[in-house]
Amino acid sequence: MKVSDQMYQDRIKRITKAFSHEEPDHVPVIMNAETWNVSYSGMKIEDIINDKEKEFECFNKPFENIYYDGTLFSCLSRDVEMYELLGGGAYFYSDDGVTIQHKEYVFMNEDEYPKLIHDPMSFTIDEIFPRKYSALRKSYPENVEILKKAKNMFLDYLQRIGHSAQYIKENSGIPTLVSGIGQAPFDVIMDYYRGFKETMQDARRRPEEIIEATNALVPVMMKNIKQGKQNLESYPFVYFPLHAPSFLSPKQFEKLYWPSFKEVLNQTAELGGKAILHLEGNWEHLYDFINEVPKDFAIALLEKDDIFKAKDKIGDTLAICGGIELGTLRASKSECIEVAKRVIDKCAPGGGFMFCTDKALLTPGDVKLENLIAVNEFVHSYGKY
Amino acid sequence: MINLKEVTTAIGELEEEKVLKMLHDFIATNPSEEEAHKVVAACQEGMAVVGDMFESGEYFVGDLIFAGELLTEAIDTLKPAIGSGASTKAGTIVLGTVHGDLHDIGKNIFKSMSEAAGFEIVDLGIDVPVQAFIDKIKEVNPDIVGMSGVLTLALESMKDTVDSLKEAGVRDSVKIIIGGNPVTKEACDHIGADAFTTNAAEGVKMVQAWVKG
Repeated sequence: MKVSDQMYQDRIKRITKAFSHEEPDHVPVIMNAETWNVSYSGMKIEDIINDKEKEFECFNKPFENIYYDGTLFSCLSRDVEMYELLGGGAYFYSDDGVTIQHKEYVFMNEDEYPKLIHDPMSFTIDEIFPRKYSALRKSYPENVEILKKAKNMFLDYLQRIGHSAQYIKENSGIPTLVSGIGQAPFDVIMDYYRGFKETMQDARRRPEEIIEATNALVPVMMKNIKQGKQNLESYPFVYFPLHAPSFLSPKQFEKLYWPSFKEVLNQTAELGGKAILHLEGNWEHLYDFINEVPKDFAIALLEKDDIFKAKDKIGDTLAICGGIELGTLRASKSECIEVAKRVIDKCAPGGGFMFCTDKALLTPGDVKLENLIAVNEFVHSYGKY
Repeated sequence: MINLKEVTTAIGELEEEKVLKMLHDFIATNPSEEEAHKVVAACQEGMAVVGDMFESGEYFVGDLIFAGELLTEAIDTLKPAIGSGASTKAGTIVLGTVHGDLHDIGKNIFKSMSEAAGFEIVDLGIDVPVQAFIDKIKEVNPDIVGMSGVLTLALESMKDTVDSLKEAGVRDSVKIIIGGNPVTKEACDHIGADAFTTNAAEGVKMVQAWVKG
């Protein structure tokens, strides 16, 4: 067994034990970073876009100098070029040549819920996609040729996810925690059809239609999570980025968001899967719902929640992952260490805790590197059980 | 005559149908400009209620978004009766998401809430070049400049923008507030802004204090 194989196995054990509320040997330190890795490696997106090997190197490089036990992602989160080919430039690179940004467009009108409810996939493929991707509005056979090319790019991207995880496993002994993506049906409506502002208005004007649409999207989402498999592995995890709840009242969440999402989570659990619930924004008003999730089924990845409150209120149901704000990592080193120490003292006992930044590292200036290095080393050594 | 308190309450409770019915009925009575301005003020008071309920944790961002939409609908309904007569405005704000950043949800929430508080907003949109800020400041001579951004790269763009306002000789004629996810006290000092916030409702109180002071 190579050294990295042993390290890899040790780290998975560390993570899965913490996941299920057992005390591992050390508090696991988890990386949540994407395009930051590219700038860390001294590159721009254009340097790696057509060079898989270079992309893998970028995502592996931080592990040479910064302590980590695992990472959420092992490559870029999307193939921007594929969207550009299709003529749907919702994603693009910033002026810094590194950061991917997203621009929101609204592709569905408010009176089209019945179509979405009746047959989500047909409506999406036949009506939404041609609106969204200008290349599909070109004449036949040009549009079909572009679609074929885009499909191959997407399949290539799926392969890259697996290959990049393999690369950092072999080179650094680092496990990639995420193997699939799920979403809450309400967020699907917001992200891909109606947009933020419009969905918030629909929530007040068309609540019944939203509920029906979210229910219609449950089987679509399960198909996405299962990826053709009959059962799911308990490791690695299904990652759920959760967008709208921070902006919803508990009443709206209970009525519009939770029933269909809970169904997705229950079905995922029944298939044997485990989840990372990325509680984006602040979820402190929704802890009663979180406690309905099956015990030890998920990690809660925190953003703006008070981690001590979260540990106290939902920490028995799920493992908590968080601990330091990117803003703190841009301040002084001593302040960072102090924060990390306090978090470990209160959150680590009994397991069920992993250390991570509150947001993904995206732009080059997101953290002071020396702080990040110091904090992760500190957490690994001080977080010994 | 329309019951102003009921208007304020209905806006505060985000009762869209009720608000619009009251306002349509009111417009049908062919009111005077003065009466119409009283109703506008009642709507604005309703938005203040919304702001308070947001701060106390009863309302969430989704409610603010809807409140902004509701106020726009209300003012549009009242427009025929408001006329062109100048109403007293609290002040003028030139607002934009700084160059390199395309996020606008936070900016738009601040916009609708400060409009509701009686400010005139000149919205330059997203990814706003430095020169666009300078030109607009020279044109409208605002009291306040608001800069928004979500990514940390926006912090450098904000600094860049403030530095250029200095060079153009317009920095000292305005107060500058920055808002968005990455802003902190340290960032505010570094950028050379006068105030920072990550909370739109708090930001509105800050700019109100400036124009009152």
